[in-house]
Amino acid sequence: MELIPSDPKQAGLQITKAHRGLSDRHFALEREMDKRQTLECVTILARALRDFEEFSRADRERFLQGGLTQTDGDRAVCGWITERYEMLARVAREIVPTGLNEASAGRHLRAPAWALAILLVGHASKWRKISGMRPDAATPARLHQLFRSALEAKIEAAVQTVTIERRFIEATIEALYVRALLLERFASGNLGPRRLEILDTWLVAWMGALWLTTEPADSGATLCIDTQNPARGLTRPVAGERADFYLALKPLRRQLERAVDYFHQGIIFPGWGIALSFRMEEHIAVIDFVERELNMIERATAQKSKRFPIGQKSRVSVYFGFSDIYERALIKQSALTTSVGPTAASANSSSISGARTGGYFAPAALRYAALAEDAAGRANDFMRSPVQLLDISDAGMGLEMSSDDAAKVEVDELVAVRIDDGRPWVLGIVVRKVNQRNDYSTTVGIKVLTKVPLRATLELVTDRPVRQTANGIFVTGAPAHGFADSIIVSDATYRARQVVAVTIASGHFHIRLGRVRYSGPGWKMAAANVLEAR
Amino acid sequence: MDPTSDFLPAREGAVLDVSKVQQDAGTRRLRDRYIATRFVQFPEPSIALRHTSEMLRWGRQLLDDDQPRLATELLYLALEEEPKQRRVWLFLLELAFLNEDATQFNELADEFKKRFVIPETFDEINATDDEKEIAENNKIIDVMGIELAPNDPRYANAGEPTMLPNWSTPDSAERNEAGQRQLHTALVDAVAFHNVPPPVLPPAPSSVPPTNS
Repeated sequence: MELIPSDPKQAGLQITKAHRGLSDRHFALEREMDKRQTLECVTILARALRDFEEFSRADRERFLQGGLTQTDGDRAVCGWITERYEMLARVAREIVPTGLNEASAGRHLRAPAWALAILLVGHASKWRKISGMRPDAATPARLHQLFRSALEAKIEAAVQTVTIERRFIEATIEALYVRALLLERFASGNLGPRRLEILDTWLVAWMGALWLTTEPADSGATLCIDTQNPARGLTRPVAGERADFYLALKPLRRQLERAVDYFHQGIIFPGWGIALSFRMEEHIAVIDFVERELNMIERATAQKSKRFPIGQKSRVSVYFGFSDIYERALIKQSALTTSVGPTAASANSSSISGARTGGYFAPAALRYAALAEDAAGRANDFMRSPVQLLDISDAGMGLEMSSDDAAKVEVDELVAVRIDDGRPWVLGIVVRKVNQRNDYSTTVGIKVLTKVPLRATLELVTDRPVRQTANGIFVTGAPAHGFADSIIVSDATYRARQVVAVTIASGHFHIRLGRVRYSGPGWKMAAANVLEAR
Repeated sequence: MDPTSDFLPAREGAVLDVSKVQQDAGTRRLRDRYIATRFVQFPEPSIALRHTSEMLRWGRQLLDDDQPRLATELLYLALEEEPKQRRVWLFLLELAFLNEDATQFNELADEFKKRFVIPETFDEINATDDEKEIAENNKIIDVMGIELAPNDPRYANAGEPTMLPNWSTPDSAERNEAGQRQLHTALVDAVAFHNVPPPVLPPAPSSVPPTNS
């Protein structure tokens, strides 16, 4: 039977007879396989993998290009691809010989079995994430077990040729193991399907730099592996915890620079793979992601701010999105912070003197009343289930919420959290979402931008006689020079690229919205560059 | 560079490769799209990157944002577009000096001296302003170099210690340092005002009604 992939002209993907035929062929292949004949099985399985990837290439490409407009058929095909990879990965694991050691004859000839098995575990782990399934808790254990047996047979450094995206790639078993562990680490985080595909292509191109050492690197940050711990993959080293291998991050940093070099030359790194056709924004997002991950690991190694677990999870009030935070979470601040006020003279008029006092010298009682407003009084209709605070540090916090609610929250979304009544809202960005293994709750990681956001009404400075206002939230930077201060505004306000005027207490400032420091859906946090201060 | 090669060595050092700016329309467009997406302020990267004062200002802002890697990338992009931007070279040299990165500093210093040559017949009186400035730059580079690499023969003629030249802090009129500090002070005051701890309230009266015995 000839297998014909999906028709590229049809609107959505669909499981066809051809898909089912390929599944049947895989089952038949497994039945007929004599798993003791390692080399023969590897050849059969490698060919089956090539055929499957050729068959599913158009499906994979179209699914990843599809973005938010997914049909049931698209999801079914994606699920089918995942299921095929998992099945092939399982068969590949079963043909890996056991009990080989350095004295075993022909052990090097059988090394392709390890390479294929580890490669397929990586593929399966990636496609589980792409199809929206939870990471398989058994993946690290399977990888460790395969790597340990490769170590016993002393073939971990054997260079093997594997086929990825129609290319013959040479890699050691160790590099394939590290690629799979890195994918597992990133797949449990916040990367969307397209970005995960880009990252995987990069990891494959970087495999020459993915080597392990038995001691941590003398300089620079490292990740570590405990091959005896089935629950852990690549993690940051912690004093007192066992680790038998280390991955230095310096080579990865250099590989990232190399990828950036390609983009400088107008080449989508690495110049091949499905990801070539993805939008530039996706590639840049992966550069940002890898940089952020490397920075987080490097800084955590140097000076990790202490994270305090909350003994008994405490319920907190939460708002997501610039508009909701401005209009609802910070509403009571409007009278207290920066504002041109409804009766103030226009910044565009000839006189800027007058009643622009902002007036944050409100009585303490009023101030407290505003801040202590009961969140229940304005119920957050976005979140249907309670949100719990898991842990908190100077730079971040972890929230636990129902997976249904978390599904509505995007990474890079602006979030305001009130931990204590009577205290200001803490403003941050969602940096990661991790599904918990209980299937109904999700941990949301938040990077704190400021613990005291300042709500402001800005006036756009134009040469028009009619005043135009815009909403903004000030984020005060740490350095005293003030060049790290920022304003969060909507995309529309930022696009206008206007100078804005604002009065804070008795000072009146004309500020240009400068470089974007962070951005997310519908908002940008721009440098507040003072042009004029009076 | 062959884009189809799988395992190219990683970039070593920081030597400027102006050949990165491709001439054919396809790669040029991709490069511009990359720059416009990574540095969202540049809708026209090929033009913006040639504006030295803009580059210095953005470079400085990225440093203010604690993004030294991005600042370095931006400045290299600017040099790839137009390697004659002397002040961008100096900015990078100072950055390497402040980061105590002797390797990068040495490479940049060599490249700078190759590109901005002082004529052999240089004399202070008849030299142009540009030549005088380059000579002065070279002197300072040597002093910085000898501090980073005391035994490096290329800085053997270094003169007396000097003040940090502040090449990485452009004296652009747009950088209103006093105004920026004033805004920061106002914001810090507002933060202190709002960051008020909740008052200690007296204990709530008992909710149990008195019994009428």
